[in-house]
Amino acid sequence: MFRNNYDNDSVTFSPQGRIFQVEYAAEAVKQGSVVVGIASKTHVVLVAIKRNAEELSSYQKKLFPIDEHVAIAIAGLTSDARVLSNFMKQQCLGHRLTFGRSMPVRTLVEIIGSKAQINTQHYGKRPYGVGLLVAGVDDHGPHLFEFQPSGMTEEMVAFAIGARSQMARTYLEKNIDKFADCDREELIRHGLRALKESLVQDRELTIDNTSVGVSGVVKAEDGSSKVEPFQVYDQQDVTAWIESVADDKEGGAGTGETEAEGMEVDS
Amino acid sequence: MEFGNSGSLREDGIHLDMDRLKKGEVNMAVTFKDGVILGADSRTTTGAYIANRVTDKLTQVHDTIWCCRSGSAADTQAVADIVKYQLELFAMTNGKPPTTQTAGAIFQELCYANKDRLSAGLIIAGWDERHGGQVYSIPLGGSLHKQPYSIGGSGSTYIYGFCDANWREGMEEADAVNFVKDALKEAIKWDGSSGGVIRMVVLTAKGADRHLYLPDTDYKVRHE
Amino acid sequence: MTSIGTGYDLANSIFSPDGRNFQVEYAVKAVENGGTSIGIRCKDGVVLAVEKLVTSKLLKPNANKRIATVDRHLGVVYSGMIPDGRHFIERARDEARAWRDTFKTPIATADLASRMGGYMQAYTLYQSVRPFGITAIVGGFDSAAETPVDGEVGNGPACGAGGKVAGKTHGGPFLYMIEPSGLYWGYYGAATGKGRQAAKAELEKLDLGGPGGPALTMEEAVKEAARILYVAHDDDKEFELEMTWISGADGPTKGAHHEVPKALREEAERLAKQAQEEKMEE
Repeated sequence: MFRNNYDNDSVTFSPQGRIFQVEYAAEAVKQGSVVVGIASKTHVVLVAIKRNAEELSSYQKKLFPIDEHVAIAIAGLTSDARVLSNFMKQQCLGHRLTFGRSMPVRTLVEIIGSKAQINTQHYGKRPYGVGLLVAGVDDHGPHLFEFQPSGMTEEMVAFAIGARSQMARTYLEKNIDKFADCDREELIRHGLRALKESLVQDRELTIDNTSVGVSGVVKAEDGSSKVEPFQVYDQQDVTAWIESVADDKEGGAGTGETEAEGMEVDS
Repeated sequence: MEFGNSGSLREDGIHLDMDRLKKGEVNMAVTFKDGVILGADSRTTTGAYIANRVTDKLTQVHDTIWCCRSGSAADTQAVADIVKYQLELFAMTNGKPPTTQTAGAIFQELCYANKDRLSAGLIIAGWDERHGGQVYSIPLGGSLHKQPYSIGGSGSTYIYGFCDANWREGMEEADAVNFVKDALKEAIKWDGSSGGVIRMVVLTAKGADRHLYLPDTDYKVRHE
Repeated sequence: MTSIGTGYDLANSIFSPDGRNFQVEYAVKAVENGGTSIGIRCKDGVVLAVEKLVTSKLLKPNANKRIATVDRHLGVVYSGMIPDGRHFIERARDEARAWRDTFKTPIATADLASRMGGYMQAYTLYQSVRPFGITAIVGGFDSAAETPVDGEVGNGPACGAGGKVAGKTHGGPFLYMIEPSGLYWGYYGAATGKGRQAAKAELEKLDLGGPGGPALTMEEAVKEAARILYVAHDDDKEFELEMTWISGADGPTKGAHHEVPKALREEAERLAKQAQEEKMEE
């Protein structure tokens, strides 16, 4: 591997004004298995591929609920993610205590952004080796944010991070105009299809390796809107969704609507 | 004032009672056409004894920002010293003189934050380029009041009526000096713990100008 | 580049034999890669604008703001490393807050620039930190009217305070630009980031530094800002334009830092595109 003099720590700029340690940390994100997030006008979903170290070991969790209304999907160093997750849980709880309401998603994301930035400017610290998709619902509706080790945070319509995530992003870009008006189930299916794009040859979605998380705003009987708390689904709870996208790969047949989308993916 | 029985006699015979060393006094500050004037008597008492009959009760905290202190001498001196330091620092770090408002804000912060431990009533008056002459008063609880003129100290009780009847907005300097002098003379006449000379400072664009009037000449002549 | 291989460029706060701090110079390089930011000081206020490069089609349009409000009357825009910029803004907010806490009055734009210049400079002094990878443009409108001490009660004489210096005005619009070294200057028009050269050339054509003060109004400046960012923009990349402004108490924002209204921004963009096309035809 090529080395240079400017990549030993996060307090040294290269002559081009780059900080290699931060860029390397971004590489760590690509080592993690892929996670996908999409937001519509009413819902936000996170879907993830879980990996197991060996045949007989358990699968590493990828989706972590933070508060009633927020959850994260992680790619990269799990232990770093746990630190951030605990921190986010505390922040959300603290916000509820002082303000008596849930924390706006952007506020939460900007707090961890600031926290991560500090690690890129001080000697003896290292950037976080994890990327996050932060999904949540607040007064302004559903939101999806991407968090990078550099401390960069951006609100996205849909996004994917982790190994081979470019394939998933390509799928998302092609279908981006559809997401806004998708209902809950359609959104999950789009997520799973994006996820499938990033799978290695011969691998497929199973109830063991797939996680699905959803939150949204639901209209109550009296017309008022209510938050559907973030819920993570695993195992038999994701069976139906996996089956619903099982046969539409590479433009394969499915329901009427999925067929049309499959065609577009191909074009 | 109740006479204290705590404390001790110093070797020079002055009874020092730290709990009771409060100045009975009269002081005031007024705005006028070109700025502000501060004025005060000069009596400091420990019980019945006049510990100092020519006290200077007008304290400078910056070039053209001064204050009248009433209450505990120790407390108000300490507070004024801190503010003086802060204002000097402000002028140096910001490359421009502080405003009367700046001084008022710092005084208030100290008086409010330490309200349970302080016995301090202050009148802050100053002239600055932007706001001209201004008078602020900070009574016991640490609130900040902007006033056209302000009177304080035990002797002020006796001159509320006088001031209300004779105060005018935008007076000429000579008229304002006479107003302050006449008011203080009344307080000195009626208040047992006010007395001695009358000191004033006139703050305008020209800077600080000090006045001194002695009882020997019935406060008629301005001495150096 | 003479700096490479000498070893003097490997750590912050190290002087080279000819008296340079290469790490600071490299930080400037990080700024030069970022989207262009500009600020214009006008007759009646300040306009800030930034070219936000769209790095992904998946970004939510117009959701990610880059110009921040630091206090009611202060706005900051920056080019370079965005997380560094966010840190800068947090610190600027802390400074503005601290000033209000001690002096019970809003911080003047010049004072904020001074504080933040000092903060940036401190990050060039130690090997344990790196300089900021941003250049920040600070715009503000210092109240021209007399403001009370926060929380004061009562009022002075009804005729107003006497002894004011006649004919002297106070406050007004101000613009500063702070570099990674901590160096800062006041500007009539400021530009930084990738397209700064082109932007500066355009800014210099505007009537900003005349003896009677700037002639440009804010509304004109908004249109100029949009046009300048379109000129400075590298054509084959998509970008979003974000613009904010600060007027005096009698202007459209009543002394506060606000986003330029959508209708005006779109009109400015339309004119900018039109000007761009006319130039192409020539």
